Amino acid sequence: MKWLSRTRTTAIGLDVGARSIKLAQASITGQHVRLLASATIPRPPHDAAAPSFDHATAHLIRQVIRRRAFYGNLLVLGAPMHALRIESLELPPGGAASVAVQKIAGIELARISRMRPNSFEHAMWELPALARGGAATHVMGVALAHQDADALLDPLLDADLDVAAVCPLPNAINAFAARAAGPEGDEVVHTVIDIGWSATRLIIGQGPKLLYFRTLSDVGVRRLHAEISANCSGDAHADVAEHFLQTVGLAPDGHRAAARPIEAALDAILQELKLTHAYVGHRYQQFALGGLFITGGGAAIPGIAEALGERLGQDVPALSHRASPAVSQPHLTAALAAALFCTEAWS
Amino acid sequence: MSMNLLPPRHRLRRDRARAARRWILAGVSETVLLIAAAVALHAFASIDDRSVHARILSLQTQLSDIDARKTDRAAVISRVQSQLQLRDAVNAPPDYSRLLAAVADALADQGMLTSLKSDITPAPTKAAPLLDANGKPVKLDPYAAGVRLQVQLSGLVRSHDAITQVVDRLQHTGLFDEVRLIKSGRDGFLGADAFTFQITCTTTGAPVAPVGGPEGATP
Repeated sequence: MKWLSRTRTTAIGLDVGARSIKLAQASITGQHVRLLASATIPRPPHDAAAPSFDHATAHLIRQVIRRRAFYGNLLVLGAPMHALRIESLELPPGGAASVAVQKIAGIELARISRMRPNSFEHAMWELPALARGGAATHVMGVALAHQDADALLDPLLDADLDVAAVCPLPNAINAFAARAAGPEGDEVVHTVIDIGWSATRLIIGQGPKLLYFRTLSDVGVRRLHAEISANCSGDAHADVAEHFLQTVGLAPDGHRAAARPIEAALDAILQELKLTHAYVGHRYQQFALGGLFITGGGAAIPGIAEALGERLGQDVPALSHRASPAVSQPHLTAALAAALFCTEAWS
Repeated sequence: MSMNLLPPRHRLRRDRARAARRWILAGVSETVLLIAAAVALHAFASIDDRSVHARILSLQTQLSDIDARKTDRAAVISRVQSQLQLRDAVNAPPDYSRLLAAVADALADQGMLTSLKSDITPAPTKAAPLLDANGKPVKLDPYAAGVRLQVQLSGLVRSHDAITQVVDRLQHTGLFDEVRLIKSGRDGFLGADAFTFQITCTTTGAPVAPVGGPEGATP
């Protein structure tokens, strides 16, 4: 009865990255996701990890939404990962639904993150029972300071854009991976390697529930870009590095010496991934390790998924392509995941 | 799993904006509904006005038809009444006593009357005959122009002057429009000379008036 399935259009997912701003909107029919519209707005080169987000940028986003055939102007803003505080908390017994536990979680997050109470928004979810957890309530909380949210929201709202929600991108990407893993993924933990411009994130979840999140600050496309540029001769080394990352990368017929920074980054990622998997496997012994996905702008480097697969001995598909074959651009995954995450939560 | 890290300040701002949009939408909807209702009411009233107007026109047409029929009937009634009056006038016998008295005064012992004939005929008309659209003469009531009474007197007198005196006296009675000596001659009567005469007296009555017309139009 496929024809009876209702088609829903998501809000416009907005991922404000360090190098570009990504917009994506999809339609959902049953389990099928179709990309309706997308846009990538490059940002000027800069050195800061968190570039400023001004009114001109917000107006540019508004213009792009109008020009690129997006439906409506309802936005779901993906909270930038660098601004999020994600912590695992051990709280008194009572369950995550308990109001007292939730209040304690907020206080604990403020204490750990060194933020004033009521100066941030937070959300929490209960983690699966630990092998030796006792009666305590184990939750994971995510917090976003009002100051960081306002820096993005004020220009967007002043540009007459309707921001309906701010969703934590790790949770959105994890939910997107759970969709890609399918129903059998609920019995295992899946891993997403998000290779971004400024950092690489390891996201591990069980179903739509985020279990672990780690940022590898010293591994990112920017560092690869810088190292490859440094190895290049001539004036246009930045352009050469860009071209190399986009078209050559780790392709079998590529330049092995030039690709050495990429392999080094992969080694670093794999080392951290092994440690992380060991930790998660020890913590959640009831779950086996399942699918592994790659996403982010770094996932578009030619040959990187195959190289990871060789090293890990398993297939490492691009998350966006696995979740929706129509989405062939890995850098749009976070924006699309944000749109889907909030739309499915609303419905 | 619902996670929305939108700060309360922005939630409030968004809720206010949504509420304002809802109020504006409700206001616009209400205005549109009121305008639609007014237009519908106006259209309904216009339809009612038009139907009443059409009904009035229909009644006016019916009244005009009735008036026209009434006029036709009145003309018919008038004609019938005229014909009835005419019939009465024709059929009613003239006042022969006055006629005989006048004739006797006119003779004045100078002669004798041998015959008296009266005849009632339609009065002659000098108007040109009316023609219809096809050029044919319109058939009119023969008595429409009036009634003519013609009296023929025949008798004997002793002298020829007596004939002139009789004619003169008849003219002065005022009863006749015209008194004409038709024939005179010499004859004998009882062994003496006598003169015979034949006089025609004509009087014409006015047309028979319709109902309400002048009285005494009959001769």
